[in-house]
Amino acid sequence: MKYETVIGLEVHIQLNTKTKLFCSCPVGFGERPNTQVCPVCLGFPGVLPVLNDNAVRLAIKAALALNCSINPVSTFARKHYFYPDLPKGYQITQYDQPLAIQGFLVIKGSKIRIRRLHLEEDAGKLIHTPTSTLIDFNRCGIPLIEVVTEPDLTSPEETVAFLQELRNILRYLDVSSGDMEKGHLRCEPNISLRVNGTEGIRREIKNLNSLKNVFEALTYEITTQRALLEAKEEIVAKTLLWDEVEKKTRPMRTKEEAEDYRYLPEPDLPPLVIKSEEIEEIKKTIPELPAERKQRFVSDYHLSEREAEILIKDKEIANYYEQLVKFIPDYKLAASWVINEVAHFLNEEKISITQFKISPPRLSELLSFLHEGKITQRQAKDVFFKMVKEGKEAGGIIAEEGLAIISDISELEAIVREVLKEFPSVVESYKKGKKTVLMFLLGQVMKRSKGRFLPERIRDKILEHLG
Amino acid sequence: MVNIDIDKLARLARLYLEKEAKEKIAPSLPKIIEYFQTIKHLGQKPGPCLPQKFPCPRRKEEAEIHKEIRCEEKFLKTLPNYQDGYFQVPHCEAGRFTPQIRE
Amino acid sequence: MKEITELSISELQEAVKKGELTYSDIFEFTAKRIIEEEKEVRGYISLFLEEAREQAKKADKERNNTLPLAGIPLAIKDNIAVKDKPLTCGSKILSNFISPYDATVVKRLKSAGCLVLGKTNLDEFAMGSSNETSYFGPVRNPIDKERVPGGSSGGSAAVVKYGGAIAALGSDTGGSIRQPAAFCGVCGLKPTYGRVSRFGLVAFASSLDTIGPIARTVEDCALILQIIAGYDERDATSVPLPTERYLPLTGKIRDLTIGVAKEFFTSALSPKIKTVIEEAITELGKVSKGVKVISLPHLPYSAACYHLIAMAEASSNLARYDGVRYGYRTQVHTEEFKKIAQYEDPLQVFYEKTRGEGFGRETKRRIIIGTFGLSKGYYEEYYGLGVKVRGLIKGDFLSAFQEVDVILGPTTPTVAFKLGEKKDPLAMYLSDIFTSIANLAGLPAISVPCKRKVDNLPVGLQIIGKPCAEKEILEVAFAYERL
Repeated sequence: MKYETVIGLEVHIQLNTKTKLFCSCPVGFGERPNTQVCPVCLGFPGVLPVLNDNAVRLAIKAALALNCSINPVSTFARKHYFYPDLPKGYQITQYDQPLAIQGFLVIKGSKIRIRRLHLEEDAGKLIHTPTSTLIDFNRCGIPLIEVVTEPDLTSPEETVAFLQELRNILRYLDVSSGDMEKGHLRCEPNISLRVNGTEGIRREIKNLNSLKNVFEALTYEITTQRALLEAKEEIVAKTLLWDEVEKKTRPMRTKEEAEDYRYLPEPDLPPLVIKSEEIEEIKKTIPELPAERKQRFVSDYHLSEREAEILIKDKEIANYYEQLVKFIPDYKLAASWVINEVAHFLNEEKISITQFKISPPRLSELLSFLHEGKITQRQAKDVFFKMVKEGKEAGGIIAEEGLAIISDISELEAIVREVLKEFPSVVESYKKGKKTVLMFLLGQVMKRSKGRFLPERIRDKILEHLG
Repeated sequence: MVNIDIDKLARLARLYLEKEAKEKIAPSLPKIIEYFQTIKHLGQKPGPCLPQKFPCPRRKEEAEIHKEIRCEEKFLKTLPNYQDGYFQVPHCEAGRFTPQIRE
Repeated sequence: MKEITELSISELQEAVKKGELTYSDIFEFTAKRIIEEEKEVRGYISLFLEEAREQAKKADKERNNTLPLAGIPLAIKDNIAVKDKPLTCGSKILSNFISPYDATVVKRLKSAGCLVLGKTNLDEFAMGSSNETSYFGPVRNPIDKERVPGGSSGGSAAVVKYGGAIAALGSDTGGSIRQPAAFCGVCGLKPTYGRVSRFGLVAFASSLDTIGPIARTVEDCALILQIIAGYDERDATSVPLPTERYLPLTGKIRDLTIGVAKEFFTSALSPKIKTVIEEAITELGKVSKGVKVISLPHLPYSAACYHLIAMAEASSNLARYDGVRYGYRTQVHTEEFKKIAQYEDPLQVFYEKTRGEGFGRETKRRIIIGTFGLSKGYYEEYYGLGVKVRGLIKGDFLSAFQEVDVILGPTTPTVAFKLGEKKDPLAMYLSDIFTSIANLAGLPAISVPCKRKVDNLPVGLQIIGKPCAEKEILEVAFAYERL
């Protein structure tokens, strides 16, 4: 039997707006419960929704970056169900006419199609205790975009790669932090196995709050479905919960009757009209996206794919790198340092590159010493350490500690020429094949330069002159 | 005659109907639905060309149009279902009878 | 000097300015009428007389008051939010609810200096045509206490009639301002949909609801409309066009053509009312450009279309009343609850019992039908059909208004009926046949009392206008009033 994995995704992304989607309550973080609420987001009698312009713009921006077509007219709808985190008894979302349709993302050469992208409001947060359920409505009404893909993904790896690319795009656009741990990106994959060309029964997995969980859950589900199919057992269409402790999926205890959402076109909101001028204007604000930037790093800076990938992962780090290479054109060296020393430091101190106190020009100074061979790699690391701890300049530290040989290369030139002139017989010997005499010449230059130059540099210079 | 399952509808709408209420309401339903059937034939007609509605207005982030009605804790404390900062309901099992988990 | 009940708001203000009256006089007169009538009429659900008395005294002190409604006592229908006051909607499920904010219309009225006397009684959640479904008991027509005042703004119309307020606000979804105005013999205006902000109006059917004034004179309606109308950024369906100056009214309608739709004059219309209306139209015809017969072919289907749409939207708008954040909630610690919940999810039982106990029968009926109309498999045939037919009705008016400027007809098919007379819900729904058409098309419409009565009961003349043509219908109504 030939099994093909078929995966589709439904992703909910919290938008980076200052206020909620339908009221002007601020979007806060970690606030005390029920402090960012008003009669509108609490669903009090008599209130009406008013659409947040910035949320629309961010949604359009995201849709454009995902290569979608923007519907010039889209409408809102009410999706009805009863649950304590839903104050009005319905969620305002988009149903018939969503904001955007038919987009795609290319993941490792495969085109993953995006069926739709639409705006909707988030619900509140529930805390379950043994005797009651507590509700915090601070999150209720925050703008979300829902992105639905076609079932084009073919493996857990590809799914994770898709989510990573999506998240990075969102961060580049400043549309969302895409942070799964904070719940800013929630993902519900559905998965089935195609057997010898016949489509299988799709199952949906919920409660996945990290990419690791997504990978593990999908892998587990493939194994499970395969086993069921081999045993010729029926796969029942179910919604599953991922248990990250037990590392398995289990069915949600829902009643068999599917909920009837009774979608109703939202009478309180007229149709949303988006003119092409607005779309063009927003298109201009889209920065270079991760995929493009990575390619550019590879071609312009001659970096490897892996180096480029690591650098562009964080937009600010990529920005820092580009600034850095303006001052020091040794691309590889700069990349190496940003990827290793700088990243390691940021990690240790738990800060982001935007909080990093050493600006690109300052770091470039250190790197040029290294580039010119005036200090060793080891010494550079020490200087770096001192720069961050003591806030001093690279040049200053190096001079103070007498680390580098801050001398003119031309001085070395002069000394080498001098020595070679003084010992023509030794030069003759070398040219005749006696390579060991190089050490004698080296020693002479070192004596005369009083150890101000690195032995490697001296050697190179002598060899240069010897031809 | 359309079949109206009053129990299913009451369940969907979360309305507990006492036996007496059901007996009073149920007979009127088919008559009312039948009354709606009187316009059924009009559904075949093509619709007229109607003028465009005004498009959805959009609020700029700076426009704090609901600021003066924001719910203060002082007011929330007057609500009978509000305690220690949270609204409360009898315990519900996560996922039971619900279409989505959001927590 | 005329009685206070015979003076319009502007005449009252004149009298106060001249020193013939004080605001406290006006208030005390109104308060006296309330005490005399309320026991039987039950027009009010809650009263704020002490506060209003203080405000009247304050208004008297501020002699240079130029606010148009300074010191004028108004009543607000209890489905419109007034800050820190009860907002019951005539229902048990909100019987303990205090609104934390003012509706936009209330904010504007208060800025104009008015006194809010109290919240008036209504059919539960504005669903009804007789004010018999209120949790707080029915309202009685002050003219004949065995009869209904009409609904759902029955309380507002009744108190204006007996002088328990100089004017009131009502809401109109299928005729709920005009019909009670007609039954009680006062003026009631339903503005164009979106002309007056709905923010703060407890939603019944969102695409049909409007707020409007009920008053004794056409001029008073115009004055109140001037204050409450206008774009509101808190209501996305509010019309973004500037309002006109509705005052002063001249009554000059020489260049307006009056339309008469033959479909209004069917067998459903009581013959005596027919005569009175025809008389009124003839008289107005003499001072206008002329009378023309037009057709609104889908008028007979409008009540069915209206109820289909309204009940569906109502079932949606009432989903928020679940006892979770405010309002009535069922007792969970009783044996009964525990018994039902042992085989079910206690949360679902909580919802069902709260809503089952909190809503009245008519409300539950409409929620069930509305839920049916939106449910899977039935949507296209029911709600979807309603939307289509609504389009046809709008089309009828587009054609009609090419030939005429206003359309006249009866407000109601009968005069005020007796309490308990219409037991069949369907019979009650059919009484909306002449009014709901204006809601479906979103048009402005006013009901003014006819000069002649039928069986000693008032008859309402309805004037329907083009979108945002409140000025025109007010002029026609004013012209009739002055005939």
